Amino acid sequence: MNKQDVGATVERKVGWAVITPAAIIVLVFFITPVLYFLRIGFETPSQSQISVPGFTLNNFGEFFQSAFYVHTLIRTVLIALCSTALCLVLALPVANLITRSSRKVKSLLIIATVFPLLVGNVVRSIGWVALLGYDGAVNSILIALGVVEEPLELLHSPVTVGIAITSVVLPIMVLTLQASMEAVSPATEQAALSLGAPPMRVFRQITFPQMMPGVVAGTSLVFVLCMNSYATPLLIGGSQVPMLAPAIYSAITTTNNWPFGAAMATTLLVVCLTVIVLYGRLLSRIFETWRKEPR
Amino acid sequence: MAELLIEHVAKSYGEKLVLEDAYIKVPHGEFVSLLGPSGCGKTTTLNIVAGFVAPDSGSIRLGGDDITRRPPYGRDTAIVFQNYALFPHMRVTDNVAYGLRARRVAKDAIAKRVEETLRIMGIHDLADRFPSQLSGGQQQRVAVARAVAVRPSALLMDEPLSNLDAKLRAEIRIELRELQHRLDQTILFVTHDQEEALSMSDRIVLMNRGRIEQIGSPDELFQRPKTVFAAGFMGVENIVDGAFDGRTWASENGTQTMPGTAASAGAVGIRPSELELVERDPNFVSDEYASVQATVTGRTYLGDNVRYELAARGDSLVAVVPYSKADKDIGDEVDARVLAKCLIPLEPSVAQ
Amino acid sequence: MKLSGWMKALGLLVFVFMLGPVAIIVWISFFDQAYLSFPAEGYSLRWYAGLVDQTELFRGLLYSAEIAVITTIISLFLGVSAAIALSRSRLRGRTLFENVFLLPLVIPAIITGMALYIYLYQLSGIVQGGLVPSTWSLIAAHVIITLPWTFRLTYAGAVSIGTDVERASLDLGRGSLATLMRVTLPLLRPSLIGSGIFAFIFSFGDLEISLFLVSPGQTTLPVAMVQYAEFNVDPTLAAVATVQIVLIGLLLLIANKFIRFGEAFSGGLKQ
Repeated sequence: MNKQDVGATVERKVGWAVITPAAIIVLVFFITPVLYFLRIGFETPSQSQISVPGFTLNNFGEFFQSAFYVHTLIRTVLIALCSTALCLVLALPVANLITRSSRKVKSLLIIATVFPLLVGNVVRSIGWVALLGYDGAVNSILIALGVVEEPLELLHSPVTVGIAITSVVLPIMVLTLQASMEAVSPATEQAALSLGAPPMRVFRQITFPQMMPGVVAGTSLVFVLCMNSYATPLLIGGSQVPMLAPAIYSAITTTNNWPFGAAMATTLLVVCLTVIVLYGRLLSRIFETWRKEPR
Repeated sequence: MAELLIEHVAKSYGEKLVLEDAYIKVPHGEFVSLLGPSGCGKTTTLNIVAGFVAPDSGSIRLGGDDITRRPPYGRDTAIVFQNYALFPHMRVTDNVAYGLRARRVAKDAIAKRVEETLRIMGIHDLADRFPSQLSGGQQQRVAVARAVAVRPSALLMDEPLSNLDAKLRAEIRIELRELQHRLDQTILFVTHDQEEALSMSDRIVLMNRGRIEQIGSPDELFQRPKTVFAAGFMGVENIVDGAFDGRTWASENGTQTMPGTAASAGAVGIRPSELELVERDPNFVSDEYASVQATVTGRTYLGDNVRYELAARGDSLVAVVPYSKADKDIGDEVDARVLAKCLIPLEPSVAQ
Repeated sequence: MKLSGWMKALGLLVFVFMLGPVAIIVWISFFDQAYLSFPAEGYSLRWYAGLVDQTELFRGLLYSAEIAVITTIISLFLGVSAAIALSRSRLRGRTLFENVFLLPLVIPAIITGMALYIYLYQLSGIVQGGLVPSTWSLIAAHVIITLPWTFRLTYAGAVSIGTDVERASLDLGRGSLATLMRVTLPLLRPSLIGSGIFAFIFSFGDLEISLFLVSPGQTTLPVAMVQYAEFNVDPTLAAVATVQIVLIGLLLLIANKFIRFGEAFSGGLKQ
């Protein structure tokens, strides 16, 4: 989006006036509450009120000294990383398929991609339960074929949770990749082909490097979404696969320990932010020197 | 010796016939242009030779091999695009080396060839730059270098000069021609610019709506266009319909002229620059000139020349006269004269 | 570039992976047996018929729809204002605004929900009123999470339309407001409809924010579904889920008439 291209048809004053309602709503109902909530993480828990005002790092200490919670954090990060990687690998052929399709087919495929996204995590997770549960479709088929005698415990494992999370965030990765693939000049691909490079090589050396901004954006967003998963680990992993977001919810609703929950939330946000920033910087350095060089 | 042969190639998209029976021979080392207006099928032909489009019928032979079914990366061709399509994430050296690496040439051979090609194109000092750091003309030279580096049997160029300004275009035309001679490179060049084709080609293939109107040397095409379309495209603005009986020319609305030199034809072409405007003389008789009574209806100043529009009993004619002789004005009644040997007999266009 | 056969097959396989769970749910909803098992013992529509008796789920459906409609209206108003303001006037801090409006996408909805709850709870103490849980706090939260969509989609549309037409209108003497009503908004109609549909859908399907902000006795459909599902997955649940799926599908098809999906998500990203 070339910012210089969009001229001003609305005066600055009017612009400010128009954007103020939205800005205020976001400030009052989002930014302030979130900051307030995170601040609580630095206060002491109390039985009678939400928290005792003050400043303490005890909640964080409690979190990192608990084997259960540290493992939960590590498990969440690992699952998020693996799901993101798997997601990238699976999304590439789909994005490729969509990009190279004719206009009508393309619209159809994009609707098919957006559709599960809009159906929602809850329904999709329930679908996975129906597929992989004790009485689910997969077990029924395996028993019917005589492969096993007793139904397999397919749910409640980190691998299953990871796969389900992947399927849930896949549409977002597909859309981001597709958008950046569309922006790659087809003439560069054709030039490479005509010079003697076969399609796989062209993809690896010509298409993918030009897609990098989209890949970085897509994987970052997907990683964050994986880290934030609630419904999927809850329904598919249950108590056997604790992940951060459900853990935060439990901590607050069962023990009413708001400061502790808030401290966990802050930890979640910090971990996400750190990974994203480091990852972004690393990839920029490797792949984008050619964009940054001045003329 | 690699000759490129486009043998009776045809292509349709559904109902639409885009290319009909194209037969073009490009001998080794020759510069052949596909010239024509947009939609004439020239780019489709190039894409078929490159391998991006599969023909419905016919074949492509390069150096005797039938490459019709081969994918683009299996042909010994290389293409240069109008918008250069340089790999933005690679430096100039890597861009130019790309094709050689893809063809698994040995490392030191690649380095040598790249160095050589960069020098030939005069861009050696740009070797470490990225495409975003180059001007249009420089990018174009890199695009050509990249294609030429693999020494393809056929170099394909799709309007590569269209994005450059006039001065650069003129410069690069000369460079390309020299390059081609130096490397003995076979080139198939697509353009819609008549001047470009005339200045660079050994032979021109003039196309219109999927069909080939005429093939010939630049000289032939310019001086002796064969069809109405060819004449029109080559700047023969006056095309007068009529019948020719060997001695006199009678146009359809009765404009009489003196005898011409050609055999039977359905139309006659007259270059605006060959039409003279003189004082009306009802008694003028000559074997060398064809003369028509006309009235001046328009006068446009062009700098060195003046362009006159004339009405001659139903026909409208255009004459371009040097400024020093442009003494006629709108409304004047004149005789429009042309040397009979400058009359160009024309057949109907191949494409209807 | 042509696609090889196995590339196409791989792509389609991944689609099956994405859509499989949804398809299974729809399939189960027509099973005759009362508990989940395969294969189907017969097919019937009785779970759909019985939905009205499933008060929790059914009321959740209605409540979710209500909330979604109100949310959409408010979210559209705010999102479109922001989009027009940012794309048509040279505000300083434009990038900041762009990022701020997209923030709710990356902050876990669970956290946003909890934060909003505790914040309003404390505020209730100050203003001596029950701010939470309440329908309006729920709506406020839904507006927050749908704002990124109404903003982003309209913004992309507004940028791609460009300002030339508006400048022409202003030149011809029409005032800003008239230009807005007669020129800009009509041109933005596809984006508006598309954004509206997306806002509705995301509000309808939200779980995490709603968890904290629903009042006892008045839950949204996703919350009701999760509570039900924690006990078992059966054809009744599948029936409700299918109703939601069909609703979403229809809305998508309608949106398709107005948004060119090929460009909806890549608008603004093209170089």
